[in-house]
This record gives sequence, C-alpha cells and structure tokens, in this order.
Amino acid sequence: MNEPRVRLQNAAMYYDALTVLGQPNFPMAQNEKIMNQPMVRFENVTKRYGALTVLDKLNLDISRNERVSIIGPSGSGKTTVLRMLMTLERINDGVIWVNGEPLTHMQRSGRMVPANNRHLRRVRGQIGMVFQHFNLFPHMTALQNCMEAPVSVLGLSKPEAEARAADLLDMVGLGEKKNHFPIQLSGGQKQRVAIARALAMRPKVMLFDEVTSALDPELVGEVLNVIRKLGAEFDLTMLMVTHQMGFAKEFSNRVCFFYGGKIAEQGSPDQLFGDPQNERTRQFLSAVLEAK
Amino acid sequence: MTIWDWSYVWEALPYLSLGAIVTVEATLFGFAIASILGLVFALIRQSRNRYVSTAMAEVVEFIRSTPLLLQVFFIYFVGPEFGMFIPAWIAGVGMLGVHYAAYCSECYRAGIETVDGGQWEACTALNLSPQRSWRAIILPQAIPPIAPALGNYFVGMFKDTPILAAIAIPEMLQRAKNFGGENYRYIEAITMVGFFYLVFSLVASAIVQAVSFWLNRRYHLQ
Amino acid sequence: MLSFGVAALAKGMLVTLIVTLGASLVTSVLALIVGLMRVSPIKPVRWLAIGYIEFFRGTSLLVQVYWWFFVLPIFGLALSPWTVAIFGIGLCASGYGAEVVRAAIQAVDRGQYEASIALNFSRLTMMRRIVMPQAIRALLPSWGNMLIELLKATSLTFFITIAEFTSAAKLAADTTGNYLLFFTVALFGYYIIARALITPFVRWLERRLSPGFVREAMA
Repeated sequence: MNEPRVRLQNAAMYYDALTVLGQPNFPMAQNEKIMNQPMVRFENVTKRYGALTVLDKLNLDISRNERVSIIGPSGSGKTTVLRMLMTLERINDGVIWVNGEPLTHMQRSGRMVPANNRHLRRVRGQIGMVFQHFNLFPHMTALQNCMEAPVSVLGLSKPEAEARAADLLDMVGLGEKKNHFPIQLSGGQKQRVAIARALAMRPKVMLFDEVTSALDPELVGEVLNVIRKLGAEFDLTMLMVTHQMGFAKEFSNRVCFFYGGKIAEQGSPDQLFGDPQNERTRQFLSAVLEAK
Repeated sequence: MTIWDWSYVWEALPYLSLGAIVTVEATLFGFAIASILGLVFALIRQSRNRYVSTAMAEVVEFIRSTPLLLQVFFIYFVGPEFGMFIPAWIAGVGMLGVHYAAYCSECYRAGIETVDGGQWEACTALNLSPQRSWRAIILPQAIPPIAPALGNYFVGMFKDTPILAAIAIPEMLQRAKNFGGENYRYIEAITMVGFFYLVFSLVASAIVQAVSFWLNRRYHLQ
Repeated sequence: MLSFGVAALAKGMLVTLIVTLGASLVTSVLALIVGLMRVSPIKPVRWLAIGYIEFFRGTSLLVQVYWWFFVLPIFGLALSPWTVAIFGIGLCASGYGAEVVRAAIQAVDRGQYEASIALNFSRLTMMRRIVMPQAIRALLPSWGNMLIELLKATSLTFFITIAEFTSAAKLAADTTGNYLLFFTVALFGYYIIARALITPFVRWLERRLSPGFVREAMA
C-alpha cells in the first residue's frame, strides 16, 4: 500500500517532543509542555478499505488520563479507531501522535515518512489493548500469558516478571487461577487475564475493544469492575469501544458518537446521553435503550 | 518344490536385516531434513514479499509434481557432469528429505493458517518481535494439530526408500531382490520385506497417533 | 544422437501417459467399491475393506510390484510388465483412494441423511441420489492429487524394465552423456503433465459436477 507522504504540519510540536525526549533531565517548563500535550492525537486520519472510506479525516485529541468511550452503530468505524492506534491497521492519510511523538510516521531528513517497524515497535510500547475475543495464548497458563511479553520485550528477569504478573492477577481477582490454562477459565476470567496481560507491559494508554461483547450477561459485571478499579488505581489514558451505555455514562469523561466514519457528536456523558444535539445520536440512543 | 520354504526365510533374515538398518537410517535422516526444511519452506512462503512467496510456492509445486526417482537421478548423475561427485547416500537421503520437505511445508502452511488471526493481533498489542511471535506463540499452536499429517509423511518416506536402490543404495528391498536372484527364490524374501513394511507402517501409525495426542494435550489445544 | 534421445523421450512419455490412465481407471473403480464397503453397515464387509486398505497402504508400492512381477510366476502366473504396471500401481493407489472416498462420504452433512430418512428413501436411493453426488464433489480435489501421485508412481516401473518416461530419460542421458539436458527436460515434462493436463482437467470436472454449489475462485 502506498502511504502518502504527509507534510509536516506539526513540525513545531514534533521538534519540541524530540528535543525534550533527547535530554534526560529536561527543564520543568518543557516537561509541562509535554504534560499539556494530548496523550493521543488523531490528525486528519483517513482509513479506506478499497473504495470504502471507513474513517474520514478524523481529528480527535485525548488528554492524559482521560477516559473516552466510543459508541455508535456497527460499521461506523469505531473499532477501526482503536485498531489504527494499536497499529493493527495501516492508515491511508493523516498522522497519529502518541505522547507528542508521531506513531504512524517518523522523521527522515526533515520530512515525515511512514514509520518503519522499529519506530512502530518503540512508540506502540506505550499502548496496550484488550480484545473482544480475549486472544489469550491457549498454550500458556494465565501467569505465562502475563509473563511472556515483559520477559521477551521489556527484558525483565523471570522472577521479576512473575512477581509483576502475580500481582496483576491478584489485582484482577485471579490469584488463585494463575496456573490455569485459558481453556479452564470462564469468559469473564479470560478477559480479566487479558487485562492483566496488557497491564503487565505498563502502558500509558489502554484500549478496550468491546471487551464485554463476547461474554454471557452474568459475566459482564466482573470485567467492568476490574476496569473501574483500573480507573481508580492507575494513571491510565483509556479509550474504549463499548455497547454498555450505562458503563460509558458512569465511567468516562467524554463520549464520542461515531456515525459513517465521522464523529457525529461528542461531549460529557451527561450532555451526550442527557441532551443529545444530533438527530442520529438521538435515534441511536433510543434504539439501544429500547432494546434493553 | 514347496511354495513356502522356511529354510530360505532363516537364510535371508540376516542379509535382509542389514538392509532394514539402511532403510530405517535413510528414513530417519530423510525425515529430519524434511521436517526442518519443510518448516523453512513454509516460513519463506509466508514472506510479505509477494515475489518471494510466489517463487517458493512454485518450487514446492514443482518438487511435488515430479517423481522422486527422477529427482534422485538428477542430483546423482548431473553433478559429475560438472565435476561434482555426490556420494549416493547423500544424494539419495538428501533428495528424499527435500522431496518430502515440499509435502511437509504444505502441512505446516495449513497449520499456520488455522492459527486464529487474533493471536497475531495480541502479539502486536504486546509488542512481541516477529521472531518471538513465531517461536513462542504461533508455531506451538500450529504444529501439534498437524503432527498426524507429518507422521503420515514419515511413514510415506519409509515406503519410498526402495527408490534409493536405483542409485545402488543397498536397502532392504534391493537386497531381497538380489537374494531372490541368487537363489532363484523370490517369494520368501519379498514377502518378508512386505511384512516388515506392513508391521512398521502399522506400528508407526499407532506411535504417531499417540504422539499427536500427547502434543495436543501438552499445549492444551483440545 | 540427440534425435535418438528425443524419440526415446517421446515414446517414454506416451508409455507414462498410458500407464497413468490405465492405473487411474483401476484405482477409481476399486477405490469407489472399497470406499463404499468401508462405510457399510455390515461389520464383516467393513472389516474386509479395512484389511484391504491397510494391506495396500502398509506395504510399499515397489514391494507389491516386485511381488506381482517376481513371485506370481512361481504360481505359474507370469504377468506382462504392462499388466503389473497398470494393476500393481492401480491396486496400491486404490487403498489410498478408498480412504479418500470414505472421508468424502462421511463429510456429507448429517442433516442430509436425516432428511433422506424423513423422506423415506431406501438406503440405496439415499446413497445414489443424495449422498454420492455430494461426496463426489468433495473428493475431487483429493482425487486430483491422487492422479498426480499416480503419475509420479509410474516412474517406479523403471524397476521392472518398462521404458516409461524416467527410464527413457535415463537411457537417453546414459547414451549421450548429457544428463543435465535430458533430466531437466524430463522433470519439466512431468511438471507440465501434472499442471497443464491433470490439474485443469480436475478443475473442469469440479465445475461440471458442482450444480447448486457456488465455488469460490481458486487461487
């Protein structure tokens, strides 16, 4: 695929990030500059599958430790947003920034060129993801699932990784089950292991892609409780695609309603659920609430 | 003249068992080559470079559609034409291995393709390197389910070893034929060889079943 | 010298094609019969089929060919090399073919059997009208692979002195001393028969025999 070369629209921002990151003890003023930058920025991001445009010039800034819920009908491009940020999908146009640094592109002799694998691997280390279908490694125990990446990617020693993994499994309430294989766990338990596995990499941004959609209704609560706990105890920027409107309302700082590859409406949960401005949003919410 | 004479059986037995050793050795060495080279073929086939993967597919296709006997002839006789003398044993066992590597690579490919795409996504999300993803995540899931098919090729290689007689490797069947020729008695020696093949095939199939059951349990894939 | 080689190759190719065709006919008929016996509801029939399959798959093709060629004459039954080639290869391959037939029959959806019972078909009608047409479609790809295996197996008649394609290539190469040329030509000869003759033929059969099935474009 040909990714168009993007003009460096945000050169100033990029250089700031670069110089600051290059210095181990940077002055406080610049530190604040980084702190004020959005954690994640989508800048004119377009994604096409053949002739179909799934996302059309998306612009979205997510601040540090913000919790954003993405809702919308199926096919509106909401899952694609997460998948692009995790680099599971390539983008056709625009730039995604993470923590002031371009994720999808890198600097080559003054121009932004599509990122190579080394760059992708370095930048996406700040992002973790939990999937709808868990995607646990079936041939590894819960503990091994949580140890694999810290050992082979972060270079932790086995005992360090094991301690970290055991702590996290305790945190999600599965300390007892750490030596179980995925096949021996319920859906809710699998998803909690998957959350622990992602957290073991100490990401700054966590992506939740319809994490309760594949679960039996009675197992949804235990997974949502773990996410609530993350919100309370961790410094995490969270981006979630969800069908649980109640949870989105209670948990997030901001809700984005996607329709036809664009953000049709966004705002605080009270505003979006209480007083939606867009006709599409109203239709969607009434249809979803009717089904309940 | 009796139809079946046991005295010939006892006479042929030590002579044939020497051949049986050659046959089993050729099969084991050949399978070692086939299972490793087959995996290499399969991994090259997965290359993102379309030309590389297409070329690999064509090579595999070519090896699979031409007879092993002719391939062995090619390796053994063409080399000396250019001053390269390849010993019969190396040419025969090597080609046996390469021939079955083409088959094994198709097995591996099927195994790799049945691994859920979500596993690759999890590897990306956890930032595992491609090498680590293959080694720790994908292959441990891809190989146990295809163990029975690989085992069948092991048995298949065993039954193809008589082809090596064409370049004067003294395997079991060749010895049976020589024994028959010297004594003007073919029935005992050839039947014994057939019996040995049958027993080996049945036993090997049972072992393959057991091993693949164990592998699937070991990796908790059932 | 070269023209002699070319003539030998052409003759060898013809022999290979004839033996492949003959053996594939023998195999197809026997595989169908034994495969059906293998799924018979009558136990002894099933056991007979299992014995047949294990015997022909378990003993090596070349052992079987030698047995027909060197042992049968002891019983006063001297077969011509041609007969041994066609029936020897055909019999051996039918063991594999029977398993292919069995797998194809067992792959037919259980619902089809249940529907046939609900419609009160006799077992024969059910097999003939409902099961087999679906099974044949399912077994065609494996059958195509088997034809290519048969083609390759004909090279083993080298050992019983039939001048088929491989033997002809060897003879021509030995005579002229040009191994590279003749073996390369022979390798590509087999490749062309397999990929330009057998594979398209099987694809064509698949299309012909697939009414009511939407086939995806083959890669």
